[in-house]
Amino acid sequence: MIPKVVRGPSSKGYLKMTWDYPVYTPAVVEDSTGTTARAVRKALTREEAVKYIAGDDPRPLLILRECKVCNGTDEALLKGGADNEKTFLLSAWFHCVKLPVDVMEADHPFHNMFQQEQPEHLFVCSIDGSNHNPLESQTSRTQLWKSMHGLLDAEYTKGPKSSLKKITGLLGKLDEQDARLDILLSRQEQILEEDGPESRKLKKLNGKIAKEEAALSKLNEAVQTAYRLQLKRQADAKQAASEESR
Amino acid sequence: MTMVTETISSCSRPRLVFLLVFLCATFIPVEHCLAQGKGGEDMEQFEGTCPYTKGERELEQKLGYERFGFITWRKGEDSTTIQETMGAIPMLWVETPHFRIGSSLGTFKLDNDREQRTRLKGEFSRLKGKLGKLRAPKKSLDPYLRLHLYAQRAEELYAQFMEDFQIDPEGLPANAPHLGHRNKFLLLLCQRKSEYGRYLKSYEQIEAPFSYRTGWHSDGMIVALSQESVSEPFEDKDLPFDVMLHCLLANTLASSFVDGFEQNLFKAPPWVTYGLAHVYSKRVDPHWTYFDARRESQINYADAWNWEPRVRNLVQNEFFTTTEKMLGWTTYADLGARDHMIAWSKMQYLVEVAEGDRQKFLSLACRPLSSTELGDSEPNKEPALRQRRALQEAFGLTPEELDEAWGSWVSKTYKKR
Repeated sequence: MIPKVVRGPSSKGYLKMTWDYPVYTPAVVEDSTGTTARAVRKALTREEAVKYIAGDDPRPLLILRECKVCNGTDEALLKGGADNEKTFLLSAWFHCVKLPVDVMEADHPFHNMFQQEQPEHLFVCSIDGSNHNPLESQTSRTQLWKSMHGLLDAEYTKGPKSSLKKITGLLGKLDEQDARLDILLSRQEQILEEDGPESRKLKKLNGKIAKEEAALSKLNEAVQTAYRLQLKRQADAKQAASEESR
Repeated sequence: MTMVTETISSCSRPRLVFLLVFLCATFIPVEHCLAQGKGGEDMEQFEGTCPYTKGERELEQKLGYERFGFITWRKGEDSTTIQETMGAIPMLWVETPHFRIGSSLGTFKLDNDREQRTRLKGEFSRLKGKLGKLRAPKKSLDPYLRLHLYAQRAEELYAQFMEDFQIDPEGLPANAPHLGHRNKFLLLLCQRKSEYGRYLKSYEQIEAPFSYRTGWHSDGMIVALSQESVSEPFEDKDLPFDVMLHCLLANTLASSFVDGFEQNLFKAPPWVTYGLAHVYSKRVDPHWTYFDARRESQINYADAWNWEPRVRNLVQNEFFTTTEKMLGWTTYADLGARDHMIAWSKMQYLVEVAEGDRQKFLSLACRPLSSTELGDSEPNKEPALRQRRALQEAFGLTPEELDEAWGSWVSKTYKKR
């Protein structure tokens, strides 16, 4: 039997999807008498919707719509476990957005994000709406990863492949480090509670803890460095700015 | 396929197993994952009519409900507009004597946890006492029953607070009858993080991953929670998540009662706020304090939840934060792990054991001193001065005397590990 991979708290911090839940707030209209009225809800154009959803986040978009009837891709994406770690790790290079069930109503501000005859539950696209890649509910994990990789290769100056490999390797090391530290911290807590702060056992232990904490912090820095990829749009904008200033 | 066959023929057995598992994991269609998965949050549809009150106003009144179905919220919003903003998801709404509650909590499957079942039995019995009849479910709690339970839980926590601090409802100002606020406490219970996130983004312009509470002058307070945030960190999906949410409710409501008391709006001393929050959470179930519930590693330490022997040890080793030092805390971040235990224990002593005027203590400890009361003292000394005065006038204790009395009670009462 293959042993189950149990991730420590540090790894778990990287193995989660951070979702954004944008809500369109139309401007409140004030008439000449000073009374305010709620604007009538209406769909934005696709361009307006993409721009609003992307906001200030320059990362490509991964958009998921919730569904009353099925829970298709949502379920597969959110399902934890060792076999889905790649999805979670790749998601950090995306701005992940969850849209509500009523986005399918014609007057929902973000309705025009879904223009296919059979609206998809999940898609990835660039922040200007280009490179739209719908993922149907029949999508397998490998197809999902291929789509994610495809857009990341197009959007970042360097694809995520080698970073991903590095990060995956570092997760195992983080787990080991967490486990080591956990044992030492529990021991420290026990000594403090049972023998008090003057215990002679503490000095050596505190030194060990400091050493292991430094090692953990180094590993986390390595993960952060591996995650740092530059977006082509940002690189282009920088170059344009420097050319302009010349 | 050829490649797989070739690989199989040249592989040792363990590697073959690994390869097969890898292939299965990689090519499982999403729909198949759906049938097996536990990780996501289904969009459950709620029944149109409550199966317990059957839409009968008389039964709703017996439950203490002022409104059931459509309620007003705040600032011109009502249950319909809020629900639309949150994504037009299925929701239930109720207004009780002290709360306006919105819930998107779905059906909760009950496990065989004996403590959970015993606690629920008591809660069902109290609901039955109001409804006249109630067939207690054995397998799951449906969305309506969860709403009734949470409405009852919120009102019971409010009543507990009034009793603990000896507050006479008649003594509260007529224009601010809700612990000093004009409006009732708002309570938003979300099944998913998505609707919870949409609410906070729209109305509070904030992202708070776990729980959220705030208040407004001359208005009221809100507590927003999500079931998904409570269960998400745990790989074991059979834990009693409804109990954990109940503990979180107790924790956040108790903190809000203190932080909102007489409209002090977060001027209350942190040790009083968070200490009482732990007292209330532990009264529901001592295993799932808010402080522990977010850390899965805590589950591995069988008795980490059991704070009594741990506090006892700290007292015996004289290794605890003194009250004098606690008077200087200004935010949640000032409390370390051991401080939470000490604050809990001291508040337990003050609300359950110490003799004195508890309402006076709360009132004096939470209300900043006026410039006249402050006199020549430096403004940054104000919080400590007011707390010292509160302890003295309400319990006749100096911070040192409180530590002595509390320490002696801990040594006599708490059991050894």
